[in-house]
Amino acid sequence: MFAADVSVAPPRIDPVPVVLDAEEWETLSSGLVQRMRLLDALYADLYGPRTVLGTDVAPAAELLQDPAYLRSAIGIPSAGSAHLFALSCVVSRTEEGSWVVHEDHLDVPEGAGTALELRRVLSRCAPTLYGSTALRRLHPFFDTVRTALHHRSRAEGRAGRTVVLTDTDPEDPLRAFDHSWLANLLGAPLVSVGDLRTGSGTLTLRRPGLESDSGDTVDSLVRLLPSHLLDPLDLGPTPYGGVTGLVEAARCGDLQMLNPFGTGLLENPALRATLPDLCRQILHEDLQLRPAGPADPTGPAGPAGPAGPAESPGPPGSADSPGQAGQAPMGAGWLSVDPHGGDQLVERPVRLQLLVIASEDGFDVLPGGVARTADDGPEALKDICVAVPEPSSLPDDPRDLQEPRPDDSALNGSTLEMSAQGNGGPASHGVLAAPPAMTRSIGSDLFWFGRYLERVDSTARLLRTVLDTSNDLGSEHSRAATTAQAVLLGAVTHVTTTYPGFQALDPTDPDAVHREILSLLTDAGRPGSLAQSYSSLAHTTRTLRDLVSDDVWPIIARMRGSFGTLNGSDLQPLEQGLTDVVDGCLTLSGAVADSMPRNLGWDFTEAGRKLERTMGLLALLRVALGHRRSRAAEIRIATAIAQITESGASYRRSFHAAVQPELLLELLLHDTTLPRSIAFQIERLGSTLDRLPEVEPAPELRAPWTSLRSRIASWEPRSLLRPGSGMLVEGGESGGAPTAMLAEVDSAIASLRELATALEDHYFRPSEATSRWGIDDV
Amino acid sequence: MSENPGPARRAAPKIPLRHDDEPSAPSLDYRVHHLTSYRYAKPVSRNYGRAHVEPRATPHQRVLSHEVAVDPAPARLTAHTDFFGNSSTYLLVDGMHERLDVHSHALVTVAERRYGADAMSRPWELCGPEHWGPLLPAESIDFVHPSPRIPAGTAARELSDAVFTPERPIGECLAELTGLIHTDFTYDSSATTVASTLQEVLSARHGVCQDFAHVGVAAVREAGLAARYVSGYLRTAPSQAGALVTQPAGEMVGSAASHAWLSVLVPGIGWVDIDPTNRTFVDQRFVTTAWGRDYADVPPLKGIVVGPPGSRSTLDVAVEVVPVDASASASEKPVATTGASAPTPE
Repeated sequence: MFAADVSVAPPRIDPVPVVLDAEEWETLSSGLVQRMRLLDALYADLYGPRTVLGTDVAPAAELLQDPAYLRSAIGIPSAGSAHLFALSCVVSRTEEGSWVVHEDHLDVPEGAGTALELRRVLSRCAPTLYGSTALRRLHPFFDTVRTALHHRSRAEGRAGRTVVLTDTDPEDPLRAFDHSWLANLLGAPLVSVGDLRTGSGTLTLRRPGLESDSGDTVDSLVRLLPSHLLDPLDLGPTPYGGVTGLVEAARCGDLQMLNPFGTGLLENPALRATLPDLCRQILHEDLQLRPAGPADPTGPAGPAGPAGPAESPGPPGSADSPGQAGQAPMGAGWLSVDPHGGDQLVERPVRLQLLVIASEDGFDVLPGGVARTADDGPEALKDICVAVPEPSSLPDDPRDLQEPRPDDSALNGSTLEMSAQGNGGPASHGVLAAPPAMTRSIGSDLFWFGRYLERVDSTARLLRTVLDTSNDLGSEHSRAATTAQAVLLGAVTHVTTTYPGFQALDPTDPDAVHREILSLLTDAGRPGSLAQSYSSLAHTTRTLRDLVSDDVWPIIARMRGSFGTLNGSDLQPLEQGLTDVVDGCLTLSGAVADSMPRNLGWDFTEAGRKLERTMGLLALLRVALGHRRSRAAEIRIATAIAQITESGASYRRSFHAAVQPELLLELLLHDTTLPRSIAFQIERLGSTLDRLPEVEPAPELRAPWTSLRSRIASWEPRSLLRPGSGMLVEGGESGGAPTAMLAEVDSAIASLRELATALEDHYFRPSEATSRWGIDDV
Repeated sequence: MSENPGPARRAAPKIPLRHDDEPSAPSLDYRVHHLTSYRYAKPVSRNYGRAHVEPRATPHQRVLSHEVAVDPAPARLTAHTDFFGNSSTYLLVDGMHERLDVHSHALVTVAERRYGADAMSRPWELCGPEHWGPLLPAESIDFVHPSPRIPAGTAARELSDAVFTPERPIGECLAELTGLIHTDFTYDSSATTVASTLQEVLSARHGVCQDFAHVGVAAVREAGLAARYVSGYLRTAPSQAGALVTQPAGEMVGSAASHAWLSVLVPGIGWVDIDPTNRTFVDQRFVTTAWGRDYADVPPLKGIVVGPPGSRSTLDVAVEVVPVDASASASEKPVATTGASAPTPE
């Protein structure tokens, strides 16, 4: 999960899985497939000829009154043999051992990502169990689904592009996580409504930049948004704008809606109650899974008491009893960890969330899923494991058996994202690959990925140096040392913009200083803190799947680990933790430099990094050297800056002298060979601008850079550090005399901000407004 | 209103009953031209629209020809038959433009509507869904229930109770309902917008034809019968030298352009249309374009424009519905309507 999600309590996980043997799974999955076939036929009729409404069987009045019956979405053709794409079905087993259905989720089928994550976590926690038990793996299922998608969406002469449509800004991080997981599994970019535009015959991904620029064609779409949020023209006003004309685009066949509009109608309670009759009428079969009635509570009548200690759960994974571990006796309860802390396993009623997805020749059921306890105790999630059939019976999918080993994500690496990258195996051979998608939101994420990467790096370096020097200076007790420390602490507050911060503290009170530093390290809710910058960095990577580099994910995950050490009680581990964060940034930089394709996405990342680094360094120089101090203090400050900017070695090579502010400034401002100098950033920023599209006709993009470059080229360290002609400003850091640098750096930072805003406005923000007309014009 | 039945009954329109000895009036051919024009203060880049402007075939109306024309040239102009059987047009203008003109041209034939006296004397209680029999489509149940713009539980209940008194013949109920709305509500195009809720219209007793149609539909549905909202045009005065006029012919009242009324399902007849705005049963002066549960299902034209933020626009709507003969020679007098369905003079 993303570090940004730390505020949400993670779900409880019960490590004892729900294990279904092959025979029981066969019964259950065939019932689910039948249910999906029935719902598919109903959808086709209700959004087509509507003959079922004329029969006595269907609850016509309830269906017609259901707001989920989207009348404007009738008559949209389906390109595949099936109309529906995915059903997330919640079932439970009754005491008699039959399966009943509690909920159907068709409009927004979720849960695939959670199921895979749960399997990954548990198979890492109990590798013996998962490794030695012949369980059906989950990934081959998605390989099949992905192959089917590729075949369905293949366009003439090129690979079809499927996208997964999600909320603009999902409020629920678990849902966002589930959505991005599904997109990964399907090998499809995750986009939001603002990224799509309908036209005359195509649905396109909007590229960053001008409205007139046409983008990549989208051939099919999986939506994880409710239907009513999709098209403000035909499906009603939407808070996020929606994709105007999407319904008509689907009607005209510009794209395939893999999960079509208006499927929420099939969740209608009255319809669900009549499914047994409808099944006989439409499929000429008896419905295998009956709906759970009010008399069908999920579990045993009473609250789940400790239903007699299960006789020893048995050593997990005894190889001679595959599929037996954790399996409950027939009935409604399943062996579970005692929610009240007892040592023995108890029986708890659970509901199973299972996923049915369209395949090339019908529907398949994910051999696994998420089970949720359904009693009065605290809710826990359980993995659902399906045992591989006995060797005597034929498996439906030979690939299930080829390697009876734990889910490959457990072996592949330490992060979920990596496992999602797993190439689809044999199924994906020979499939054309669509080029990676580039949209405004992806471009924006790449830009901010660059900015947050630099921000994490510079904040960590700054804090590390401040911790280092405060030890030295604190023990020195000279006036110069005190001044230098106050200036450096003030610099932390200014550069990270975490006001009032150290301004409100006594810099000589070690406890207060330590508390503030801890807060800056760990308080993810505080804008500008290291934890918040890291959270944001991790968050921007959510859509960047195949755009940055696969190597990025494990690094991000390891950096999260470093944060665990940053709440320490003494200073030494803090510095070590910060060094780990800095190392993480270096590794990330290396991965980006070595693996990221040099395309538009790279340019956005580069622009973000150079802008951020320039801004951070200028802000540091301004607050550290903007006021004159005693020479002794200035030398201490300059030494710290050299350490922060990793320029000490260059300085010593260039100047055989102690670190002096003027000489250091010369190096940091003008040395184009020094990768952390201002001049270096400016030149790189310039060549990035040269590569970006549409810069030439847009003066607002080029002008700030030009003026910035000439301003900085004119800076001469000695005159910059000359005290300004005039008054001493009260309240300057420790009361030093202000220098000409203050105003100069302010102007430079203003140009940088102007450039950053112009880049965002031009490439990532819609420059136009949409408004509704006509509804009142009669 | 129920304690004052005298004036209300006097105001009720005459039911156009079929008499075997009376020859039916000839059909009338109309030329329809509906123009919607937007002018934008600053150029806009894209315009999406959805229109219900094509006259539809009904038991009393045939569409001889129809065409929608959009200026500037649209990138996409498509039509499909919607849930209710109406023609629904989609348009997309892609590229900078400062104006948008949507023309709908049609040639239609409208037949006389007369109803059997037997069916019209049927008590209204025998007109609900349980009495429809196998010949009426089951989907008609859609028009019995509340709909987005016509929720249940409004003050339309009182109106319904006053009209649908026990065992009253359905024809009389419809005439009474038409007269009551016409008498009790004031036509005032400044009083409401289409966004006004039914409840607001019911308490203010002001409104335009859409509001009157909604009030009528609500009252009929409160009685448990099927009622639908109908959108269309009224015959207009013949044009002068090619200019579009929007003035309805004769004494008829309509909003600036399109008109709206309601239709009620009567077993043995089918759908019977009444126009409370003009206090009349719908006759040969009306051209039908679309119907639905309420206005929201069939707005004549709605859309979404993409342009510079805060851009303003002005709108002009004009409709001309003239008999083909009259449009051929503008000086000719309007064709007389059948006397039976002409509005009763006050």
